[in-house]
Amino acid sequence: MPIGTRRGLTLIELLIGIVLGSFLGTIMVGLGLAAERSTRHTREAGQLARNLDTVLDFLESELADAGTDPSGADLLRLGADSLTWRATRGVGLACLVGSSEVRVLQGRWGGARLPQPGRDSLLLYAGADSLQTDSLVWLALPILGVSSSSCAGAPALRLQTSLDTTLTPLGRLPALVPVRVFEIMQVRLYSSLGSWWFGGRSVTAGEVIQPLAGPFLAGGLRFSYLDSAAQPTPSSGMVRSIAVVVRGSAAGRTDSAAAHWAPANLLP
Amino acid sequence: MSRNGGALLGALLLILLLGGLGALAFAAGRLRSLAGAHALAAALAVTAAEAGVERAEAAWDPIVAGRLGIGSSTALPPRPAMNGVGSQDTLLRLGRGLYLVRSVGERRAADGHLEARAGVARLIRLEGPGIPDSVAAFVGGGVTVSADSGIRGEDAIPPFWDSVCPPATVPGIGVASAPSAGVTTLCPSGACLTGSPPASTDSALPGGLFAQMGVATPAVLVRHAEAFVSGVVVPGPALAGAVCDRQRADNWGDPLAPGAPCGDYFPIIAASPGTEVTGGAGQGLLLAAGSLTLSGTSQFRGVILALADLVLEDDAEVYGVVLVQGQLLVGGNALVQRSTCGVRRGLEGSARPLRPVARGALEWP
Repeated sequence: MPIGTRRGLTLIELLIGIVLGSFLGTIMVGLGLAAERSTRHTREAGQLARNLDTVLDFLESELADAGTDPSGADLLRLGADSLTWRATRGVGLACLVGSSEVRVLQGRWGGARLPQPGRDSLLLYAGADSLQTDSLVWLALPILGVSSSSCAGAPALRLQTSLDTTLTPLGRLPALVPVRVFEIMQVRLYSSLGSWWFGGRSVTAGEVIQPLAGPFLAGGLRFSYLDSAAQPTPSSGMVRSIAVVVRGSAAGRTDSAAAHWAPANLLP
Repeated sequence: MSRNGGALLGALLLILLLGGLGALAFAAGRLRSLAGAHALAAALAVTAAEAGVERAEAAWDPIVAGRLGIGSSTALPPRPAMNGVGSQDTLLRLGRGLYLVRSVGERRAADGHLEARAGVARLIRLEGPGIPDSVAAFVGGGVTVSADSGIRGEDAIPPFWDSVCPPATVPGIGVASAPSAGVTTLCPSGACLTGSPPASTDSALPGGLFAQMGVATPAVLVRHAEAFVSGVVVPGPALAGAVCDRQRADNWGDPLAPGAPCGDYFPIIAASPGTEVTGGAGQGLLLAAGSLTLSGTSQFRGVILALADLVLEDDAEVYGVVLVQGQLLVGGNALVQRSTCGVRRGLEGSARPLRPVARGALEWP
C-alpha cells in the first residue's frame, strides 16, 4: 500500500482534540447546568410570586364586602393561620319581604351565580326607612328554597326563608330592600403530601379543603387582625383592617409577600 | 479532500436553541406584560367606580334626590373620561331616606375597545335631625297665646300641599313645655291652644332637645346651612332662568307651589339673633341662634328652632313644629299648626349630612 494516500491524526493532534473537546464540553455542560438552574429558579420564583399574588388577590377579593354592624360581624373566626367569614356571592334589591319569602328583582341582582338553598344565606337590610332612627342592622336569614317569581310583572327570584316579623316590622322597611347572599367560607394553611398549601372551602356546603395556592413553608401564612388604632384585636367586631403575610421557598431561597388592607365596610 | 465537519450544524443548532430560548423568554415577558396591563386596567376600572361613588356623595343634590320617586333611578351627570378611564354613575332611591349610588367604572384603550369594567355601589342614608312630630311646640321657657291666635296640636296638611302629603294622622300635643315654664292662654276657655292634650310638661326640656336633635346638633346643622340671614328678611322663591336659584339667601323654597322649580327646595336657614321675617314664604329648617320674629303675612313650613324667644304676630303662620328654648309668644292672628307632613318634608329636603350605612359598600358586578 502506497504511503501518503491517507493521512491519519497524529497522537499529538488527537490529544489536543480530546483536551479541547473536553474543555469545551465541560464549559457547555457547565453553562447548560447553570442555565437549567437559573431557569428552574426563575420558574420557581415566578411560581412563588404567583402563589403569593394568588393568595392576596383571593383574600382581598373575597373579603372586599366583609363588614360589621350591631347585629354581628362578617369575620366569624379569626385564626393565626386560618379565617372563617361570610363571603358575599351576590347582591340585590328585594321588592317584597314577607315572613316566609324574599323576592329579589332579577334586574337588580348582581352575582356570579344564583343563590343555592342550604349553601347560601341571606343578609337583609332591616334598617328603618326613617331619617331619625339609628337602627342600622342587617338580618341573617336562611335560604330554604329558590324559585322564579315576579314583582308587579318584573321577573324576580323567590327566596324562601323564615323571618320573625314580630321582631322586624315589615312596614318600616324601605320600598326596595338591599340584600346580600353569602356563604360561609374558610381558608387555612394545611399539610398534604409533605407540603403546606393554602386552601379554602365552603363551610356551609360541607366541602373538604381544596388547594388554592402553594406549596408554602410550614407556618407560611399569618393573619393579623387590627382595630381602629392599628392594634391587634381578638374580637371580630372590632377588626378594622387585616394584614397577611405568606412565605414560601424557591430553589433554596425563602420569599414572602405581605398585604394590609381595610375593607370599606369595616371602616368606622 | 472531503470534510465531514459538524461546526456549521452545531452552530445552527446553537442558534436555533438560543433563538428558541429567546422566543420563550420574550413570550413569557409578553405574557407577564399583558397580565400586568390587564391588572392595571382592572384596578383603574375599580378606582374609577369608587371615585364615581365618592363624587356622587360629594356632589349630592338634595333637589335631584328629593324629586326621585321611590324605586326610580336617574343617571348622574357624566364626567369626561381621562386617559380612557371613566365611570357611569346612577342614583336609585330605595325608600324615603335610603338611596343606592351605583357606579360602573371602565378603562378603554386608545382605540376605544373596553379593557376592563367594574361596578361598585354604596347605600346612603339621609341623616336628618331627630325632631318628634307629635307636638306643635316644644318650649323651654313660657308660652303666651293671645285671643285670635292659636297653637294647634291637631295634625294638618299645609295649604297647597294636598297632592304631596298623606292624610293627616292622629291629634298630637299642642305645647310640650319644661315643668317650670308657664303656659298662658289669653282666650275664652283656652280655645286658642288645642291638642290632645293641649299642653303637657316634658321633664327633658329645656335640655336635650335643643342641643341634641337625634344625631344632629344645631352647630352641625348650621354648618350645612344654605342660607344665612339677619335683620329684616322677606323670603320668596327665586329663579335663575328656569331653575331654582339656590344661591340667594332669601330664597327659602316655594311652599305655595310644590310643583314649581323651588317647590322641592327645603334649605337649612341660619338666622342671626334678632332676625325678623316680615312677610313672604319659606320652607325647610329655620335655625335661629337667638330670638326670632315672624310677622306680617309670613308663612313657614317645616321646623323652626329658636335658641332664645320666638315671636309670632300679625298673620304669621307656621305649619310643622317649633322648638323654642326661650319664650314662645303667639299674638295677633298668628298660628302655630302641627303638621307631620310639614315636619317630614321640611326635614327630608334639608336632611344632611349623608350617613354611611353599615355594610353599605357593595361589589356590584
